[in-house]
Amino acid sequence: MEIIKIGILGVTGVMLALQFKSGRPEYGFYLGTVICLIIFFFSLQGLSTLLSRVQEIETYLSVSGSYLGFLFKAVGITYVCEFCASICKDAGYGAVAGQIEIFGKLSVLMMGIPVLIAVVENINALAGQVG
Amino acid sequence: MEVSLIFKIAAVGILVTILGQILKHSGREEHAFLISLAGLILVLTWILPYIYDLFMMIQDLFSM
Repeated sequence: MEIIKIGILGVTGVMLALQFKSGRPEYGFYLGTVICLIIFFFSLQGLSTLLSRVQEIETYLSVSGSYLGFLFKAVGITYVCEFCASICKDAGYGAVAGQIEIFGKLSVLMMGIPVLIAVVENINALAGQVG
Repeated sequence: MEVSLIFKIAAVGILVTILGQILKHSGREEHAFLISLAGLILVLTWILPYIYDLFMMIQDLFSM
């Protein structure tokens, strides 16, 4: 099955990369990065089919169409920031990874602000009618 | 995005390590450094396009 192929690929790649721990650690790091990339490309097919399904669902939810776009963007941002942060951690630079993570959190927060404002406005409008 | 990329990088790494050791023990430190630099640049030219593809794919997949 697919998962076994991925598992074997990851483990053999890591074992190969371990050979360079003593002599040339940077090549082990390159191997780690390449393995991450390959596994991500494998998972991409599944992800694109998933996203197309969600787009179909989106047609039914006519109101929240734009917010679904926000959701996708947030997932994309978190994925990229997590990918880069873990690569930096692998290389041993935890501080850089922390900065990337903080920036990722902030950017998702900044992106979520308009959604929050929209919710508050809706509540205000409802409260206005009731009050 | 073939799996052979992993083995290509491993081969370059092993070659650079061996050549570096040979050059180091035969008294040519700077050549050993140049060899490792060449290996570094070669592997980077292989990896960078894939990283670029990754980020472009994420951009249009998640409509960022």
